Amino acid sequence: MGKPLCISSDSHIVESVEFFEPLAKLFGDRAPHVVTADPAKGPQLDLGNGKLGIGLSGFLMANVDFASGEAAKLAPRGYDLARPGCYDTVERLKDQDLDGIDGEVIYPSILFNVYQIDDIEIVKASFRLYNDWIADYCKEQPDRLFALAAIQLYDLDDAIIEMARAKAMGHVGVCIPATAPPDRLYSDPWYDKFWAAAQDMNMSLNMHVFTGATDNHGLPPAMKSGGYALASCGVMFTCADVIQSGVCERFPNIKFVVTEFETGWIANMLKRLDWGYVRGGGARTQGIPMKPSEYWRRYFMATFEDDDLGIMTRSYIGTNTLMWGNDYPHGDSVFPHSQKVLTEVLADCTPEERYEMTVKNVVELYNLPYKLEGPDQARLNQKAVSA
Amino acid sequence: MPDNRLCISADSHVVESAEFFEPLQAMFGDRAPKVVTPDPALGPKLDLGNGTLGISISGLLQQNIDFTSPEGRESLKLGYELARPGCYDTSERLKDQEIDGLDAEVLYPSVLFNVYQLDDLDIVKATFRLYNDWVADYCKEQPTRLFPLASVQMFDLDEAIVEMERAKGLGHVGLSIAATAPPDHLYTDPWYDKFWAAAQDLKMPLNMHIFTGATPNHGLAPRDSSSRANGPMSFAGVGMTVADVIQSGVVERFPDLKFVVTEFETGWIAHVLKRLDWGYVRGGGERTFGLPRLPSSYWRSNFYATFEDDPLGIMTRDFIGVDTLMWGNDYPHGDSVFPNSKQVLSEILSDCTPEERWKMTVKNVVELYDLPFKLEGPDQANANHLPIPEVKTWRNSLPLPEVSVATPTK
Repeated sequence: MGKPLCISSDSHIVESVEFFEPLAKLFGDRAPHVVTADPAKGPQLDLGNGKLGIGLSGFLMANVDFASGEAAKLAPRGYDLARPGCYDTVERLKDQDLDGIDGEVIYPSILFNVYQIDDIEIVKASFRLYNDWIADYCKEQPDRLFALAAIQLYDLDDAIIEMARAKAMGHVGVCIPATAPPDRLYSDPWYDKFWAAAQDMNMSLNMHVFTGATDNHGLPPAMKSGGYALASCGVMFTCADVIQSGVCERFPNIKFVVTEFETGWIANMLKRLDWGYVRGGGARTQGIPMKPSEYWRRYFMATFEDDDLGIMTRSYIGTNTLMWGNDYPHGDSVFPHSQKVLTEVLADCTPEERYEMTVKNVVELYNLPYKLEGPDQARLNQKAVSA
Repeated sequence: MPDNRLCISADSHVVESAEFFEPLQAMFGDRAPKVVTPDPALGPKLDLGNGTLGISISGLLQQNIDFTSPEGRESLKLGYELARPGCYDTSERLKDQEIDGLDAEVLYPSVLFNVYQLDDLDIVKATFRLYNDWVADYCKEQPTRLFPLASVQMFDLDEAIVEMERAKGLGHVGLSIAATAPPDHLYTDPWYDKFWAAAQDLKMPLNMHIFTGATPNHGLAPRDSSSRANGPMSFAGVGMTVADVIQSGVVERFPDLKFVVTEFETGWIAHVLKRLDWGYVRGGGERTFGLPRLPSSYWRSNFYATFEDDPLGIMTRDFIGVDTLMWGNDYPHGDSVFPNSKQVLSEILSDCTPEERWKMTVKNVVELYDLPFKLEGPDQANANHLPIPEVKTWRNSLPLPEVSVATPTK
């Protein structure tokens, strides 16, 4: 038996100020750059179009209560909050060890807001820059850090070229917008050549919370108060569009990943889609031969940190579609308490299910360099045995 | 069944007749909503008088028929001929209640759903007043078995309050308000406060039925018409309404106000509450939200939701709160479980305690609407006297759907 494993399928890099600097040469004032517009809030990305992105400090406040006075004191400090592991991969492995983690799949952070920029040349250049930068970072720890590339979906020829370039650099998948523009949903066959290329390259399509193609992230524009809490209501429509329009039927080796939207909404979405399918005429009228939930269980994955509702309804969702992640080093992260969280939230699961959600699914999906050895391999099951 | 046993549907319907709409012609001429049949294959629909057509009326009368079967499509042509006699004759309706094991029903409208989206406010007001009289007359014939809800618009609040008072006098047990507010005038706006205050004073629950949005998109994001997702995902619209009402402090300011979320099923509620709680805790809690309690706590004190046969809401009922769930059979609509309510209840509530079954089929609905039944405890619920089946066969009873088609090539 090899070493015990616990892999985070949702971790992050937080792009540095310097990361954005080459863009200023290319685009001048229009280039996204880090500014401190309000010292009380700390630094934010100036998107170059008059808008400001999410507060950077929040991306670096693992294990801090946002609601506390402490958080308000910390917010002005920006990058000073970063754990050394954010930029030094040797230090990062120490944080992995501290959290009982053996490998991480890495998403961007500040780049989330770049997905909503209208100037496509700026988006392409930012993403190419990122894809190089994050590949270099992960290359230092090729058995412990696995990068995902950021890709725009307005110019599909460029997207396919960039995806191929990312594949060659060692990226294990690509991050596409979690919600499409409302006038060009993923149900549009216009995207087919991109889906075909992703399938051919075995590149999974990852859709992280806050990476919508538009500012409203697929939610009603008037919605005042629910955006953070009800973000799943945006990506839910993406899943429905992809499934109902037959994307997975046409591209049977494609994989979509829904990241950090938690999982308590999935069973209900599948139940309602199945009901709509059955009531709406099924295969005869809906253009797909299987029920929507069956496509989910073959073509979709979702990550969670600590959502007990997804676990309660897992028999309906399918444990082969769920992957755990710690969200390091973000403000919502469960670091450094991952083992405690997993022990609690997966308490009712079988050893096989724990293994699926913390090791097997993520290794198989991204073809990570670990040999799969069965439930005993899951660090979580070993802890449970020894405890 | 013994006389003291009860099972009450918290979500049933009348289907407004073609004649119901006729008085509007005299008042509004061509602009009046009226029943027309532009395409005989699809049967009658409501012509909204503004160039748009409402939902198919046949679908509102096709209980227990597969919409998609050749027979289902054929029957679309029949329109009002599909109506069971009980739709318009209340003594026939009681016979259908007995077939289905019911003792009483709370009644919502049907064809009127599309009137909630009309721009011409005078037409909306007149139609709703007409309806409130019409359905009160219908229910008055069976005052211990049929309980109506009044339709009220929320654009002219003074008129809404007058109509609410009138409805109370007519015997209505609550009001149907738009399930999603206009995007430029959400329920977060304190502008609505005088209406909330009046509903609280009059003890009128505010019911929000599926497909009664104030706008044609029912609170969902604008989307390319190629998407088919809006129907199955319609709970996302009312989920935002729930979030808005709770987060803006409406139920903190009006602690006796009751909201009911009807026929959106219940599998989404636990997740929405969990995320709202998380947003509250992460966002600063009382200090920044101005609310002393968690959002889920307001749900459990001020909201109800109805379901027909959703196993996910039952699986997550501890988080939602069994005190907030009410079953309904949706008679006589196309999605109705009539005449199989007993089977549905025996299967879907099989893991519940007798106390829980009583709450969801008797106690909650009686208390909410102050219905004229004496509450006597769990043994009173007919759902506690149904045999629990060894094999569950109802359409939504099975937690794990079968994978029915060969695995695609991988």
